[in-house]
Formats: sequence, C-alpha cells, structure tokens
Amino acid sequence: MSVRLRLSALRRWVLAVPALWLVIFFLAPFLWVLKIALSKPAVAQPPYEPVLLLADSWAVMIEKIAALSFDTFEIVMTDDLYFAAYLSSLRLAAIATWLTLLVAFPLAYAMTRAPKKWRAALVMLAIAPFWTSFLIRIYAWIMLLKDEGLINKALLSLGLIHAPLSMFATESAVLVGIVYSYLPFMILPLYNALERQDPALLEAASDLGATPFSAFWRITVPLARPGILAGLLLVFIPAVGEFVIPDLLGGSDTLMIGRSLWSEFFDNRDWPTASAVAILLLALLIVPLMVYERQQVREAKP
Amino acid sequence: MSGASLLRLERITKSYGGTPAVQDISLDIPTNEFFALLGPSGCGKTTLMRLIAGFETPDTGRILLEGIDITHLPPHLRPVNMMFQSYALFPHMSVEQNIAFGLKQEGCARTEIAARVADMLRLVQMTDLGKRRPDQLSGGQRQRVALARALIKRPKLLLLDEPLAALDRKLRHETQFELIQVQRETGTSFMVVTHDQDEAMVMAHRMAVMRAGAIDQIGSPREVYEEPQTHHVAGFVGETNFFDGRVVQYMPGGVEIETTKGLRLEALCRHHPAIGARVTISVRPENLRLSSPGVFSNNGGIGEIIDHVFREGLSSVRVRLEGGDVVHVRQGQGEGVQDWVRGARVFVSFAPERARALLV
Repeated sequence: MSVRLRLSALRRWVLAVPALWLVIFFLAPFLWVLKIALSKPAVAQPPYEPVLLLADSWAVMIEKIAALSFDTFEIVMTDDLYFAAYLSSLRLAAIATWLTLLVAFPLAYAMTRAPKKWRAALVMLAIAPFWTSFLIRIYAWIMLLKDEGLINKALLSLGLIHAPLSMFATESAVLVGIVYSYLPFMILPLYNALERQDPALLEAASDLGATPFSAFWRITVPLARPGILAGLLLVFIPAVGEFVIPDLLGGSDTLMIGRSLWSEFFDNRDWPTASAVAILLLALLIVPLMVYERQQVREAKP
Repeated sequence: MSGASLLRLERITKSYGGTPAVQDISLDIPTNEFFALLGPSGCGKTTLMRLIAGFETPDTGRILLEGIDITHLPPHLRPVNMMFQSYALFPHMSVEQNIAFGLKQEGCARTEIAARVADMLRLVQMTDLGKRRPDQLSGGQRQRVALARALIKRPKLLLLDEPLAALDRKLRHETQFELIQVQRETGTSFMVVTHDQDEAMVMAHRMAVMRAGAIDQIGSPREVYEEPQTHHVAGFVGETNFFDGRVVQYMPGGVEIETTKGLRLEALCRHHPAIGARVTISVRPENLRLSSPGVFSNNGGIGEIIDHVFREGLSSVRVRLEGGDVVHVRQGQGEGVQDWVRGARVFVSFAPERARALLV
C-alpha cells in the first residue's frame, strides 16, 4: 500500500503541472472573483470596496469572514430578472444543444462511412470554420439573416415570399448562431465514438434479424453514448454563458445570462453583483458536469 | 448424417473492382451436415460465406435455401446465422442480452426468451456467466457466447467464420470437439470457413478445398486426403511428397513417369495426360517405405537418411535422394520397422496404388 502511494518524483511532477495550471488560471481568478462578489459596490477605480485585504492579520481576517455579508448573492437569487435570465439561458442552450446533436450526428455518421482516405480531410473540413475569426463569422450571419439580408433577398427574388421574413434579432437567430458556432465541438466527439465501432457489430445485428433502423438504435446509438454525452456537454456549457451570439444575433428581448453579466459589469459598473452572477452560473454548470462524471465512473465499473 | 438439400449455390460469381473473388461456384449442402470451406487466405472462402449470409450480393448466380431463392434477400430476413471471426459481441450488453438479441428482434415473448437463453447458456456451458459483459470474459468464453447467440434462432444453417482462429492451441483442440457435439445436438448444418486443414479434417463431414476463387475438390476428409485431385489439394491438405516429371507410358489405371532427377515412377492417375505431359506424383509420408538397398529395386530411389525423429508414436525420417530431393517418410512403430541411423543408405519406394499422379 505505502509503496503504491509513494509516487515517484517524476510522476509527482507530471501531476503537479496540470495542478499548477489549474491553481494559476482557474482557482486564483475564481477566488479573486469571489472576493469581488463579497465586496461592496463603490464609486471608485476599480468600482468596489474590498472587504477582505491580503494585508489584514489572521485575526482580523477571521473576524471579517465571520461577519461576511452575502448580500450580492441574495440579490441575484431573489431578483426575478436574474432568475428569468438563468432560466432562459438554460432553455436556449438546451434547445440549441439538441439541435446541434441532430445536425452533427448524421454528419459524423457520414464521415465514418466515407472511404478511409477521405476521413482526415473531412475532419479538417469540420474544423475549418475555426480558421476564420468567430466574430466575423457571427457578423456574416447578420448579413444572411437580416431583413434586407441574402436569404430574404433570394427568397423575394424567387417570389417565394412577398415580405421579408424577420429572422434577425430573434431567438431563432440565436439558436442558429449557437448551432453553427458549436457544431465542430459536437461532431468531433461523435465522430471519434462512431469511428471506433467495429462494422462487424452492425453486420452481426443484421444477421440476427435487426432491421437497419433497429440496429442503429440498439447498437450504434448506445455505443456512441460517451461521444454524445461529451458533445452535449461541450456545447451546452459554453452555450449557457454565451454572450457574443445573443448580443449580435438576438433581439433586445433575448434574455441570456451572459448579457446580464455584461450589463452588470459595464453598464451598471456593479462588479460585486456581476461577480455573484458569474459564480452562480458556474455553480449551475457544475451540475451537468457532475452527472457526466458519475456516468463515466459507472460506465468504467464492471 | 445428412439428408435433403438445404443450401444450393448455383454458379455464383462475385468480383470486386474487376478482380474476381469467387468464380462460378456451385455447391450443395444437405441438412445436418458439418461442412468446411478450406483454403488459404484470399481464396474467396470468406466472400462465399458473406454471400450466403447476405452481406454481399453475387454478380451472377443464385443462392437457394430449401428451394427458395434468397439471392437478393437482405441479411436480416435470411434464416441463416453467422458466427463472426471477431465474434462481434455487443460490448454494451451482458452475455444474456447478447444471446437474447436475435429473439428480441423477432418479438418473442419475454418468458420464452428467458427459457431459450437459459437453454443456450447450458448448451455452451456458460450458465453462471450470463450477467457478465463481453470484456469480462476470456477468449474461449467469448467464443461460446458468439456461438450461443448465433444458434438461438435455431437457424437452418450456421456459418462459422474461422471459429477457432482467436483461440490458443490447446483450447482450439478442445473446442473442435465441442463444436462437433453442438452440431450433432442441434442438428443444424454448420458451414465452417477455415484456413487450417487440421480443423477441417477433424470437424467436417465434407469439405471443399478452395483456391483462387474456385473449388478444387469436394469430398469427405478421407477422400480429399487419400484421393487429392489437384496438386494444390494434395499440398494443402496434409503433408505430401511430390515427384515432378513427364509421362513416359500408360499403365493400367495409371501412368509411369520419368522424374526430372531421372527416376522411373509409377502411380495411379485419374486424369488423362498425354505422353510427355508434365505431371507430379503425390505420395503421403506414411505411404513411403524404407528398405535396405538391394532388397527392392522398383518404384523408388536410393537416398541417405538425413534425420530421424520420433514423435507422437511415429517415426519421422527425412531422406535426401540422389539428385538432391528431400522426402519425408513416416512409419509406425512395430513389426518390420527398422531403426534407421543418420547417414545410412536406404531405398525409398512406394506402391503405385498408394500414389497419385496429378496434373500441374
């Protein structure tokens, strides 16, 4: 036991690197944001009055921690507007995530069925949009979706519609933007999961009397589940906090928590409240991650 | 042993991108037969099996099962099941779920499925392991699950693609006899694809030896061994010695040839080669006999013992003939068998009726 617990120096270093990375780039900023969330807003630069100071002695620090006020969290949790924003973010992200899955699955499936020599090229094509700036691609969608945009012009000139469809500045536009932007994050894990499946499994299913439809649902999909879960998470988590897409493609009524956060920070200059919003969002997103983690553990267990 | 015709292949041809994989094959498999398709890799035996299972469609020809044309029936509608070389067990299902899969597709009642799965587990001696996942099983156990899964629908014909290839030597030997027993108990016709002539010899009632997309010979293991009809069959099934030469004269039921090394040898021949035609005589090691030079002098040649091994109750002797050819002689122990010493000069000969002259 003790022998196994005693890690070699090398292994300790190998583990220390990601741990250090997380401390520097995740834990420290997180604690900083938490500190701001526990402060009071102020007309100052930066616009808050810190409660906890590193210069304090231990005794003072402990006293202050005991007397901490969680006012900002209380405000965020009781305010209907934030509640609505969280709910609407979750709803839009969930719809967009499922839509992404629906679009990505046939694409990933087709990629795995393509001749081997094409597959690497198809994977490159799937991630090709990343070579252009995200912002530019979203602006391009504005050009496509707005009332005098390409789609409306094309439909009008074909005589299919007589007045422009209002697609821009709607929730649907936000959904389109999210599906489009996050598609590669869904395709790649799906492709990976589907490509590893032995084609003989489908032949075996068919040999045992399964129709292609039944073989798909009873063999292909269950075996692709780890990939599906990974893709759902990779899309859902960033989509909930998405700011750019709802800001550029959404209407003024498109409520998403990313926008609330932005306006709290930059319009209201209320950093403590904005920080509390961010921390609660993080807490919210830990839930699906934990579900995923438990799923993984259960799958690994015999 | 066997009854009415179950499977009939009529002039089946299949090519891939212009390269023929199976050429004009016709074959009849009766009910309750253990049939083996034997051949080296790339001979088309796997393609033939996939055509029968329905994963491929022939370019020309027909496949009949109990007289019904199934040539264009998709695999899930064919009353034929297959055991895959890789076993292709569903990794996300337990042993029981794997075995039950075929019946579930049929929409069988739950209780019937449970009963038949239990029967199958008993048949392959896996009763205690029904809840396990495939990755928790040994190679031999996976093989049994694959067999049970393929048999549960009580197919008329079970196709087995290299069923023993993934097992180690000892297990392979035991499993051969288990397969024979399962075939006998279920009364299903088995068609095994294998590249291992031992497997075919041990298990099959009849076998077809394939080469380059065509069947060279069909017969019982004994017929194929004792009466090989082509050079390829003689060399592929069992061990043999070849003497190449040209026909010099016809003998009753056979020919006499002069070998490239100048020996005059006589053997039975089922073909009708012209005088002067190139043929080869095949003689199994156990049909060669050794004697002291001078005792016999016909149908053989003088040589020198180069080694002598005793193995599995048989003595195995290699002799280098004058002219350089090395032949392998196998003798049982006992009456009249001498213990030959290395370097001794011997006369190697055979009875013409124990040898076959084949076209090359």
